[in-house]
This record gives sequence, structure tokens and C-alpha cells, in this order.
Amino acid sequence: MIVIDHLTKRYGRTLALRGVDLTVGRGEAIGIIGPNGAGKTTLMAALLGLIDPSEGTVLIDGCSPHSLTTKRRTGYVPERIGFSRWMSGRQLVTLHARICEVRDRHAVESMLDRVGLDRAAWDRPLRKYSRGMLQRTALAQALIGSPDVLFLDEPTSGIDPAGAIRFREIVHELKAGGVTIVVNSHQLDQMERICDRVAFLRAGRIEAIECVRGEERLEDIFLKLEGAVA
Amino acid sequence: MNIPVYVSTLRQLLSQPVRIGALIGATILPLLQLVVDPDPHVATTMFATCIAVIASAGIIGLEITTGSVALFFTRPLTRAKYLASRWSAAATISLAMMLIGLTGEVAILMARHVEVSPIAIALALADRFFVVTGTVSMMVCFSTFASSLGDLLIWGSIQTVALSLGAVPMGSFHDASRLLQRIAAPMLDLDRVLVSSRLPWSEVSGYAGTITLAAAIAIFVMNRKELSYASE
Repeated sequence: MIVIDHLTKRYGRTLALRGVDLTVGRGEAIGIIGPNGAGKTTLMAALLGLIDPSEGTVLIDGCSPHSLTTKRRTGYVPERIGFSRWMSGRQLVTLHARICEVRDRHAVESMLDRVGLDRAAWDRPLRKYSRGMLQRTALAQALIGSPDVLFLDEPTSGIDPAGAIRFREIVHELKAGGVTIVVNSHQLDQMERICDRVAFLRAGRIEAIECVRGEERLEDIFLKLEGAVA
Repeated sequence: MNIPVYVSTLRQLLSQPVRIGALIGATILPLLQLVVDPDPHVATTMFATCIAVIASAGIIGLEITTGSVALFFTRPLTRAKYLASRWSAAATISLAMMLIGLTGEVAILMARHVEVSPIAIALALADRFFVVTGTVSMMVCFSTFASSLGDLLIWGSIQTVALSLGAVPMGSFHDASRLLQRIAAPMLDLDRVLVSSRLPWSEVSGYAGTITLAAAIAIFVMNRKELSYASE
């Protein structure tokens, strides 16, 4: 589904990504972990077609992430909520539904219900939302076009425990439906519960890729890898 | 153009009290001037330029600063369509305010028993239409270069340099000043177009060329723009 081949990204003299190779299968959830400045957000931006690689390629189901075909099939929850805060949650999700040409008239309401956004908040401006409410709205806009690939950048930061549980349930439903998920997060316990594999990124390079379903806890794997490369 | 983005931009612009206040001010000011003017006549295009600048300031740059543009570009929407939608929304608001202003001007002139011919009104309308669409195009172009309200700074700098050059009593400086003013606020000299027995192609192509070039530069810059938080 996603094939990353020798992906390199330079910003002037700084190498943000150094020859990243990664393949993610359909219906698989992969986590990207690593210390701050490891290149996680740059990798996510390259996967989303927001930046051009200096070298290497990214293919999503054989297409470039820049192509409109790919963009029709992807959803994105950004790390920083850079929405137009004058809008309400309902207006934002409606706007993205219209851009994605979603025909179902009730899709927006059912999506806001699905992510558990309080109905009383639907028509309130986003500037009055808490961080957790913004994250739920972000998830709703990402899911509105029924994406085949979902990119989640710190999706549960600021979400309350009930929201985090709902988020996990949604991710499991999506995975069962064959949706490929790429998650970038520092919350290792969340990653452990939703990801099949994790890629450990450090200084722009993938140091290791580990399966999460084993006996060993992700935190221990993380600490071991941190120690090994330090 | 993408209609949902166009409608959303219209709503966004109309929800900004500072921008709306400034637009109302730029529309009302020439009307107040007409009320007290001992020799009232249809105003120049200066206020139409101001309206266009106010309506389109930060039209792209502010979206880049807040990061909301990145979310749009993960959607099935080309960057050129996004630009066209934002341009159309700013132009719609500018033209609406310009129309309100002109209607007010005509009403005041008629109330003061000043004869205003339909041709003069049509000329003023056409003049302002070209100024507004031209200025919005330039502001959108500047906005792709600069984040936040940097486009306003670029526009102001060009106008300042143009005014400074225009103050120098030398032909070449005067020409340079005129050129810069035409870049900041492209206009079609309709008097020249209508008075000439043959269509002055240099005037028409100068205006059309400036706007086409601004649109091409804006699309090029936007397509090359990298929108990662990590690159900031």
C-alpha cells in the first residue's frame, strides 16, 4: 500500500531524512516513534505530498502522494490544529466533506457523533474548543472522505481517557475495514494498543522496525533502542 | 475554482471585524468627502484600490501562518484551484464594497443636484472594476511570497518607492514611478482606450499581461511551496 524507497530530505545543510526505506501493507497500522527532531513530521509531510523529497520516492498504491487520486483516498489528522478557528466544528467537517465530494447529506453529523464530539459544541466556533475537542474534530474531518490511508500526527494528545478509548475503537474498526494507518506519536502506550509494527526513527534514519504484538513492551523496546544508538 | 473553498473564504472574510471595519471605512470616507465637497464629482479610483488591498490582505499568507492551508493541500484540491477560489472571494467582497460605494456616491451627487451622466457612472464602474480585480490579483501574488500580512508590507513598500520616485522631477524617474504604481495597482486607462480611434494595445496588453504574470507567479510559487511544520 505504502512504499517508501530511499527517502531523503535536505533543508539546506541539514538532513531531515536519510534514505528511509519502509513498506506498509493494506490494513496495517504502523507507528513512527523517535526523539524530538528525529524527522517524524518531515516523514509525515513527505507521505502527504506537502514536501518534495530531495532523493527517493514515496508511492501510495502505486501513485505519487501529490496526485489527486491519492489525495482522494487519504485522510490526515495534523499535529498542530491550524484550522480556521472562526468556523464551527460542523462547518469545518462540512467543508472537507464538500471538497471530497461526499454525497451523503447526513455524513457530517454521523461522523461528528462517531468521534464523540459533544452535540452542544457542533455549532460553536473552533476557537472555543478545548484541545481534546479539536482533536476529535480533526479526526472527523480526516475520516469524512472514507479514506483508505489515514495519517495521524499525535492524534490523542489532549484527549480525555474516554476520548482515547473511543479513538482506539475507531482505529480498530478502520483496520478491520482494510484502512492503512500511519501514526506518529510519543504516547507509547497508545501506539502499543493500535499499531502492528513501529519504526524507530532517529536523526532522519530508521534504526529499527519492531512488531508490537510480542511479549516485550514498547517502552522497553524504545529504551533499548535509545540505549543502543546513544 | 472550488466552490466550497470560495464560500468558506467569503464567510471567513466576513467574520473578521477588523477587516470589515476597515472596508466600511474605506467605502464611507469618499461619501463623507462628497457630502462636504464644494465641487462634488465622482471620486478617483484610489478608494477602490484601498478596498481591494484591505479585502485581500493576508489572503494566502495568513493561512500559511496558521497552517490551515496544509490541511487543504492534503485534500483532492489543486493549489491553483485553491488560489483561484481565494482570489475570487477577495474580488467578490471588493467589488461588492466598490459597488456600494459607487451607488452611495451617485445618490449623494443626485441629492446635491449634481448632474451625473450614465456614461460617467459606467466609466467609473468599469475603471474601478479593473482596478479592483488587478489589485486583488497582485495582492494574492504577494501573499504567496510572504507569510501573515507580509503582502501588505510588499504592497506598501512598492507604493512608497513609487511615490518617492514620482517626486523626483526627471522623466525616467517619473516613468519608473508610473510602472511601479501599475504593478501595485494595475489599471486600465479607459479614457485613453475610449478616446483613441484605434484600440491602444499597449494599454490593454499591459494590464492583461500584469495580471496574467501575477497569476502565473502565484501558481508557480504555491506549487513550489513546502508546507511542513518541520521546515519552518
